[in-house]
Amino acid sequence: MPGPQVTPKLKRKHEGEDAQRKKVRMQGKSNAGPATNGAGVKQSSPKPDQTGAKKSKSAQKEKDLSAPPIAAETEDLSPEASDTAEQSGKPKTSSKRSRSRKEKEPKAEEGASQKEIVAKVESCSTDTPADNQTAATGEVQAVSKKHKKKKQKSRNTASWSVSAPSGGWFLPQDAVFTPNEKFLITANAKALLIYSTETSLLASTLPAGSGIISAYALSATNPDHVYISSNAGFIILWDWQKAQKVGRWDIGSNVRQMVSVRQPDPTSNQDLVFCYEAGDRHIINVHALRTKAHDSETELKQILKSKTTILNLQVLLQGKIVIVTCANSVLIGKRAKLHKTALQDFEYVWREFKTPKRVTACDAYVRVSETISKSKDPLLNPRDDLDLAIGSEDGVIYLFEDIVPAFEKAEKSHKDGKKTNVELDALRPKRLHWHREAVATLKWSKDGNYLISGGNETVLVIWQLSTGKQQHLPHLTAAIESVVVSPSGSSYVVSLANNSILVLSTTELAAKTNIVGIQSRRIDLEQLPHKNSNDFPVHVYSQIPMVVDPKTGTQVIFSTPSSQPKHQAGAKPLPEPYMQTFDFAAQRPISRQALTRNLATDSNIAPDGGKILEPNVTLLQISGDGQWLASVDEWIPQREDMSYLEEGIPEFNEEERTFRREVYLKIWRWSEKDSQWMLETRIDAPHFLEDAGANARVLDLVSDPVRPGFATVGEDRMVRIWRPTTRTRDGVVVRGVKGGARRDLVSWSLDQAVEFSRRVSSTSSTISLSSRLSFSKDASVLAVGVTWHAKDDTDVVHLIDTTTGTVRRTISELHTTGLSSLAMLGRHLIIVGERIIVWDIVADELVYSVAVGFVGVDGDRRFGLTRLAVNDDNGTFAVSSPRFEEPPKDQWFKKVSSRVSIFEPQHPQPIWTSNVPAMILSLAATKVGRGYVSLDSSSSIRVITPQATAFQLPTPPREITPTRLRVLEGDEKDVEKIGGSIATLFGDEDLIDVGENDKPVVRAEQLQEIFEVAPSHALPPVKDLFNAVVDLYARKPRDGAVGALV
Amino acid sequence: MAAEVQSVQLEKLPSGPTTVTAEQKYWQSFGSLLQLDPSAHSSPVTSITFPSAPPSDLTVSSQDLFAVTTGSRVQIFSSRTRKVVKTISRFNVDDVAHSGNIRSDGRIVVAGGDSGAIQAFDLNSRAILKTWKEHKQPVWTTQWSPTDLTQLMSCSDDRTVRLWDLPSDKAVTTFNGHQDYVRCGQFMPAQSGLLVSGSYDQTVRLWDPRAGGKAAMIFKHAAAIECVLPMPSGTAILASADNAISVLDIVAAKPIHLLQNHQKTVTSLAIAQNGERLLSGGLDGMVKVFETRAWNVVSTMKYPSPILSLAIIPSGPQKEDRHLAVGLQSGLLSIKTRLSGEQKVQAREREREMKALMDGKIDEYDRSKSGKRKRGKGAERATRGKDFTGEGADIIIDGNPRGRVNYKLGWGNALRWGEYSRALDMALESKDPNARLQQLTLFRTLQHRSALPAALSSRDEITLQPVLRWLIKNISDYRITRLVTDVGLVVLDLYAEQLGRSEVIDDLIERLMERVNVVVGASQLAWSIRGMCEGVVAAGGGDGME
Repeated sequence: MPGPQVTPKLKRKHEGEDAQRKKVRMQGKSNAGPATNGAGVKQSSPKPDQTGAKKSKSAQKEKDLSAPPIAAETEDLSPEASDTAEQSGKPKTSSKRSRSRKEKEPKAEEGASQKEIVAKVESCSTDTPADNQTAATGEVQAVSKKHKKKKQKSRNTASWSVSAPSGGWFLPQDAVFTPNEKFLITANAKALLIYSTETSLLASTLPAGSGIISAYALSATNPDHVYISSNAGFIILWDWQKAQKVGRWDIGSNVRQMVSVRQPDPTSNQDLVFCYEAGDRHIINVHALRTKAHDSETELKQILKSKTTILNLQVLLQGKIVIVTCANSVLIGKRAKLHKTALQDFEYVWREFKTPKRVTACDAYVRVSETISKSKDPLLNPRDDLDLAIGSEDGVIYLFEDIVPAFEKAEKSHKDGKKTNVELDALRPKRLHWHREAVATLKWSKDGNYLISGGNETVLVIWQLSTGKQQHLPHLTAAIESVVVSPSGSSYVVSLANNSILVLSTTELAAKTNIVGIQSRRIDLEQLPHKNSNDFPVHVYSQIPMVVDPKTGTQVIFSTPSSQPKHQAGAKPLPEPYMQTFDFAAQRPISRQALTRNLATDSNIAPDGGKILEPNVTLLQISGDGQWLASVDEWIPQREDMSYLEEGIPEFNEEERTFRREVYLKIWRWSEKDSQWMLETRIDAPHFLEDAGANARVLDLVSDPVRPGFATVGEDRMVRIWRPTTRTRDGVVVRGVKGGARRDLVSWSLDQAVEFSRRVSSTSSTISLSSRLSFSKDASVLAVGVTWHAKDDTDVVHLIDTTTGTVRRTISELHTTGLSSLAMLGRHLIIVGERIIVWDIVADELVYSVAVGFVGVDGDRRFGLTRLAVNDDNGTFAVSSPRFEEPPKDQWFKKVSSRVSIFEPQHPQPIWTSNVPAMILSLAATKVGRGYVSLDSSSSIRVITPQATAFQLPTPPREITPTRLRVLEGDEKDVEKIGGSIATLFGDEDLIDVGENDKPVVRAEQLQEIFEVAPSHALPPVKDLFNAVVDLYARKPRDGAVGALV
Repeated sequence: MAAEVQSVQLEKLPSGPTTVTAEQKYWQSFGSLLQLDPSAHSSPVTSITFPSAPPSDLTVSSQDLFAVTTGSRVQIFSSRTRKVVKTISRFNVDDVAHSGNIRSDGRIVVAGGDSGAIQAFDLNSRAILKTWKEHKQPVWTTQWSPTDLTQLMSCSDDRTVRLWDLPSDKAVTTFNGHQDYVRCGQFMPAQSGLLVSGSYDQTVRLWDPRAGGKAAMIFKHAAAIECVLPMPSGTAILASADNAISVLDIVAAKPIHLLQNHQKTVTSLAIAQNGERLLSGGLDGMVKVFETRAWNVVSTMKYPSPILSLAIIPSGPQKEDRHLAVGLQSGLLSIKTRLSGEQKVQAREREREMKALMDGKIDEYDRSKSGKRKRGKGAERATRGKDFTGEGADIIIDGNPRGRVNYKLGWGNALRWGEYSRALDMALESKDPNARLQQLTLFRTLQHRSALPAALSSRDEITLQPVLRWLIKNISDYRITRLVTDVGLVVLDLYAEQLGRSEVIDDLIERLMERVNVVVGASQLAWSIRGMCEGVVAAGGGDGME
């Protein structure tokens, strides 16, 4: 734990205690017993209380909700989740900040530890079978209760565990170089990340503890120290070299930005930390944070209070000048009384000027005038020129040279010296205009001769100020979020909106370092449109296509948008033309590849100023051998481009637009040489609406588990199976050098087309349907589930024989309302919609049907939010369901999380359940670790594995279990289940004994018969002898056994 | 640094169900069909032969003749004029002539007959030079030795194969061993002096005159042998039995391949292209062309009647394949002739394609053929390792070398700079062989970038014309109807008010209208047929469904 605890002299007791009380209340809510116990919480003691409390709670919930949940309601207590909850309720008005907080510190500590313990208890309790049983509500339909209870005892109740999330987005804060430029410090929500600039690899990680990191700053005095603030209201000082905590302060407010400077006192070797603290008021405080090692004391001075959000805070010349950028104004603060260096003497004279357009970026540069600085301390030089550059939302950069005198002049011209708000134009700035859109970031070069700017155009612009020339670095594939100039000025750090950071050398603009995170779609609740605008955009939570690469077993491939700028909020999910490969065992992104045409090197703005949209990859699959990847992408013209068809009927327009949809099925082959997927075949319009002459959407794509092949189902009510064929011409196999090795070229083409519904109507194009596919493990059966959007059609599941391509069985007795996923697990068909339905295909009967626990969402739109994954290796399946928590005043939801439940097809109760504090957008089964891997809305990947063991590495090659064996196992189960009569038939002891030992019995006489037919010189050839012995040992066991018995 | 600029990938239109290969083109280039009935009363054409090349330059070259045997006559055709030069009909009235064969110097014709007599005629005077009546059964094959001017062979239904010397009255050698009719036989090529014969006893026998009358090698087949043909190399023999052709290796003394591509009995075999192609004709009326390395069928031709004889007749100093003569059961002789000049280019092309295919370089070949500019070595070096044509690019460390962004497509450059209108002008003006695909690609790309109205707007009388011409030209292509319609709608949307101001434009619009009317008419016809089909299906298939 942290080093010396310091009792700071902050006057904030009220606020702190308030928070503490709140924390206690929260815990009390979720957990009646232990929270008030104080320090002496034991892990074992609260258990009975716990379950009791939960029981009552779940009962209560059941009353509240019409649809009962799957199992007991487990209150979400994973640390980060409760923190966010805490956070939003916390900040209080500053008037309460008056008491000292001496006793507060230890309590807060306690609180944190308690929480952790509670979380542990929680996870334990959910795993006990007893708990499961009490939670089991009368949902079971097919299995009798007594039978079930017996079963449950014997069932494998080994606990499962969710790994810590890997991935996540880098904080939207400038990355920081260490002074020697060997390391680059950045952070995601959970940890501070230190990357080596030489290797682009993660050098070390400093965990944030319980909170979410909100800001970080490198100490100005000691380059080994770094301040990290979390939204829990703490600032922690770490020694990142030794990975040790040096100090920890509870300042009780949400720090958004931190800047550390050396205290101006020439004798001092201590930091001052300028913090922008957001709450109801936006405040800038200067903290002198002191540990016990220092002789001075921790203190604080507020220097600015603002009503508007502060965009950026810049501190120059050790605090002599502070520049604060707000949305529509820029404030320049100059410290008065420069000779006084004590913190409490920090007073600033603020000058503000308004800008007509919203300010999006700002950077200042101090030009130290040389003549005087030689003689005096440069800090005290009054003649420093302050140059200021401001980027506005319309793409113009305003450049003010030596702004302070101009400012003063403008003030004077206003006559009434009191008014400090000066209009921008009064200062006569230089205008630099190249950007079409808002200037996202703006920085001065080290020598002050250049400005570096970037924005949505994905072009880094370097302005040479003396000549007005620009240098461009185009095609950076994603919008530029921030640019940082390294301490020596030899490199630029460019943060891109696709969650990656590039380090470029300033001389040749070549990339030296490339740091990439998980780039998948992220959904930030704060960025969603406000509640009053329209319906909740539930489709932002649509599934991200994700597959586990069977070649490695530890790599997942998922589609990603090209760029997700943080300021570009929208309810419309961005198209995802790229895919990323991420190794969840090494927690490292492997590669990124474009799957469709994209705008990496083209303008991303249409002539009329609209944004051009790329095609969207909607489905991804990999063949069982890992050699083939299939992707489906869609593109549809934008509504604005269809104006030439405008006839005043929106439905007609919309229909015409869908007729112009482009759908491609692309099949890629893995190239070992290039470690890349190579496009082998592109199938235009894999599904086609004949009547409309339009491309139909592909609704689902699955891969044949046995041999290369993919099946698709489309809006045209067809299932099509695609297979590779070796290309020939004039009877000669066509060979090429594709992918390095010279080999036969393969084309993919349609192998089978099965129409599963004869309903043919001319208006078919207007009725959309959802449909899901699943192969059985031996690929002999393809199940297709169909939901018709027209109410009068019943939803059905068809079972298609893949050898003949005919529908063999149509299961229409299931009410698969809102079908969202379908899978086959052994003999069971699992359908997830409004309910989780397990159907036994062999016995042709329902096994069970339980409701999916939707929380906080209803109507049809909830059905797209569940995810299903099936793991053949351990015969389980996982279902994730959404949990939306009630909204604050202007947002849709306070918190969105999901619940993962692991089921076995025989038992309606989940064998394990847990909450994930983000919406799971994709779920897939892993072969390694026999678990599941999930990708969620915060772009992090979690691995769910059984037996609570840590994920193992290196992974041994997967054993290939002969399928025949599996079938036998299945048969045995069948025998057990179907009835006692067959079991008794096999109950004959002798036979069973034989069955146990499958080796044929070879008696000595039999061997004698072979070898002792003649004297040794007259024996038959050795080959014949060998064959005879082999025949003896390799004959069928049953025959041998019978022989033995006879 | 930064991603590399790649030129826009060209669209590909779906191709028709069959693509004509160079091979097929070559065989289709045998044109100027001449069909005649040489026997004058529709007797089947049983044999077409041409003299083998003279053994040395000293002898007088054959006079470009070939012999066609039908009914009771042997007709000598000139391979230059395709006209009958001589008709030899000095056979008995009820006799049927077989296997008229011209000696390599073009002076003497020999033919067998159903009576068992072998006759030698002087070609000029048509006088009978010699008659051998040793065979007591019909003689089906007579052939001159390719090396010795006085030597000939004969095969007869009396189960013997005999070797004759022109001056002598008796057979030089009699080969006994066949158990049934011997219907075909050939001299082996080159100096070997061997003979091969095929019989209805289902064997192919190889005879060596030096070893006396016994077979040197026997290949047993599953059916009666209709035709044998040695490969020019002399190491393999082709034999047809029933509907299969077997390839027999006489060095290894075993069959190598069995080609079963015909539906009915294969009656005739011929070698073309110095042994690179094998042609076979069968009673199913098909001529199939095999390439002789992997024995794949590369082309097929259909004839209206069962084929009895087949020959590829070379001519000219290079002995190029000139005529494809096929004799039919119906008595017709079909002669197709390949002209030189342009067809020669095609032949070269075909050779190149085949070579590329066998070398596994067909991709390169196709690329070079698809009308793109030939690239030099430098270009090859520059694009080395970039044959991956996935789409777009991620960040890569080496971008285009400074200032060396090479836009293969001029309009691609304009497009990149957002000069959509200029890009369209350039593409529509392009004289490139691939211009049509390029225009298509550009229109698609403009659609993808929401720039179609921008590219089409603010055009004047002159610059609008190419757009309208493009529309008129492409509106009938069913593969791109949607795209062309969209372009047309945008044009009409933009310029509707301006109609009537320019005669040229009005005229073009009118032509577009006419074209649309034609297409609409065609599709209405298709609809009505579809309606009829549906009616038939509904009536006929109703009870079959449930």
